[in-house]
Amino acid sequence: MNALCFDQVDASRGAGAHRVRALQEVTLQVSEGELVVLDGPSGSGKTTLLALAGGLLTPDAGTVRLENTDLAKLPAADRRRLRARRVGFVFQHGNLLSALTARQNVLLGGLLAGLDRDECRSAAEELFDRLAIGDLADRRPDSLSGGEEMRVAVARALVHSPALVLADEPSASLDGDSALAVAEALARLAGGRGSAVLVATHDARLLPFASRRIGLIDGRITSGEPHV
Amino acid sequence: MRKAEDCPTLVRRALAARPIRATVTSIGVAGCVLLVLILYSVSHGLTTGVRSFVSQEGADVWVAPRGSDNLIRNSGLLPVQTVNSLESLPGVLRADPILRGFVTAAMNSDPDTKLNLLAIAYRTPDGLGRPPSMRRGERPIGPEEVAIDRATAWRLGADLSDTVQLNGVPFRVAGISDRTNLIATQFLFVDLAAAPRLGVLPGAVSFVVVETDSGVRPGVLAGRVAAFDSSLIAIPRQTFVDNNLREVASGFRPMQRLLSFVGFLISILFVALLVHASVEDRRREIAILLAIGTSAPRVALAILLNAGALVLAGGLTGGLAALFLAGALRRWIPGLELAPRVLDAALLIPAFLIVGVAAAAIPLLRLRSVNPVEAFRP
Repeated sequence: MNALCFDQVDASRGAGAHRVRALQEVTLQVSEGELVVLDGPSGSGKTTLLALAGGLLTPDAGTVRLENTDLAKLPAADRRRLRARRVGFVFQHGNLLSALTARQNVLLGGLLAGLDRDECRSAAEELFDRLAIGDLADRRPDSLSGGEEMRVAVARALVHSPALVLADEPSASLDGDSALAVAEALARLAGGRGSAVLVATHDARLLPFASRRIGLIDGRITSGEPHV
Repeated sequence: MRKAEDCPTLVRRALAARPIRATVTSIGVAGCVLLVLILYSVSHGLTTGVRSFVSQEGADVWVAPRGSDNLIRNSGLLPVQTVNSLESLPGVLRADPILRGFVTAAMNSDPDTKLNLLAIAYRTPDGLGRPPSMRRGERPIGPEEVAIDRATAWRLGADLSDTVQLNGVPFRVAGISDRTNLIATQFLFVDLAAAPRLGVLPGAVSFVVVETDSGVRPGVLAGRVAAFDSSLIAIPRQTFVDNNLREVASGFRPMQRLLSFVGFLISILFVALLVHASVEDRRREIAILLAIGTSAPRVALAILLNAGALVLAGGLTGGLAALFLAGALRRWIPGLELAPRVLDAALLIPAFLIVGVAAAAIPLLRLRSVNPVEAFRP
């Protein structure tokens, strides 16, 4: 089953004279348990595509379906609820909430998804164990290394077992080991939970973990070959 | 999981104002609450002085020449025979004269420090018009003694048994009275027989204070007095209290209202700036929260609750500081007659809270400019 489906999607960013076409006639599918790398240079439209997939933007034309639900047809409040429950985000550099501890960042992701506190706690503990960051749980983001912060961000994205995980440059500014650890965590944990993962990156180190690579240049998909 | 780690709490914590900004806001609100409460304390101190003297036990009806309706601003006089005439009226248990006038007080040891005091000449020691309460010493007995207010004593440096000059005439301080301070001046109590020595018109009185027989309503007696002599006006105690409060408050209330308004205005500015800065400072966090599924109303509520908590903290701090400061000033600087009331704090702090939260509404509109896509920015 497709977790995410783009069908002839056009999208633009900015307003007025600064409005630019960010995506043109994009069609793609990401299936359950699949990790797809969205590869392209800066300004190619990767972030816009992720924002559309997460229901943060709506397309100018075409449809974006999350688990067969046309996101553009949902009222904004329903779209937000669906996003909280069925989508997990891993932002560049983690983008954790700086006033909260690592544990609180992860718990918040689960609570917003509607998990009760016990479910949330046990899911968070399990992820902390599997990501080997249990000893970081009570630390704030400013005391974490880049790799540690990204692993906490992965835990936040996965705590509610979403249908779709959207990761934006998760290995940016990470050293080799940290980048591999984050990519491995995404592939193993998300895939193991049946989540589809769409990773926007131009970091070739992540390609071995992908089941497919999709190339994106100037808002158009240029390739979509299965990765070997 | 700790109980405090529920969703609204975590959102609120994530959007907490920066510590320095939060501290400055709380201190600002505390300062405004302190200012307003001190003003109210001064106001109550002022009215307490009048109320406690005018409404003293036994002073049921105040009789004055027609045209006079208060003690503070009064220049009317009655012939002293009026006292005897009123005593003969049915329903009158007791009628005592009071002669009021301003005198200049000074000490021999410091003749340059002079105070203008509102002298109350009455039948010492226990006639109506006596000092309502004594802090130290006794009420004056006979024409050589005087009771002065504690603020007067502090300003003149006078103590019990000292000699104070009133219009250049020496009197012995027999007692120091309390709750007789009108801020701008103070009551001073002398024997009626001393009035000629002070240069006040002999044979005349300013008021006759009447105690009614039990069961006789002051209003009924006031009617009898008016029927007895149409040149007199008889004013029941509560009306007389109200008239005097009106007089003492008329100069102070506009300033009190203006400064209270300024206090509220400054608080509004503090809170509005705080919320504006919170939205700007926490723009990244707000975008992340919106992106991961927090609703905009929940974000707005979190910011409002944070602002409200700071206003409340500031209000409580200011309230406690005002109560402490008023008590301390009253003790160390008796010239400032402050009467702090917990009730004022209990009413003002919620008022500041409501105004503060309302002030947050406009800068909160800035939230609409935060796009959750900003969460993708590093």
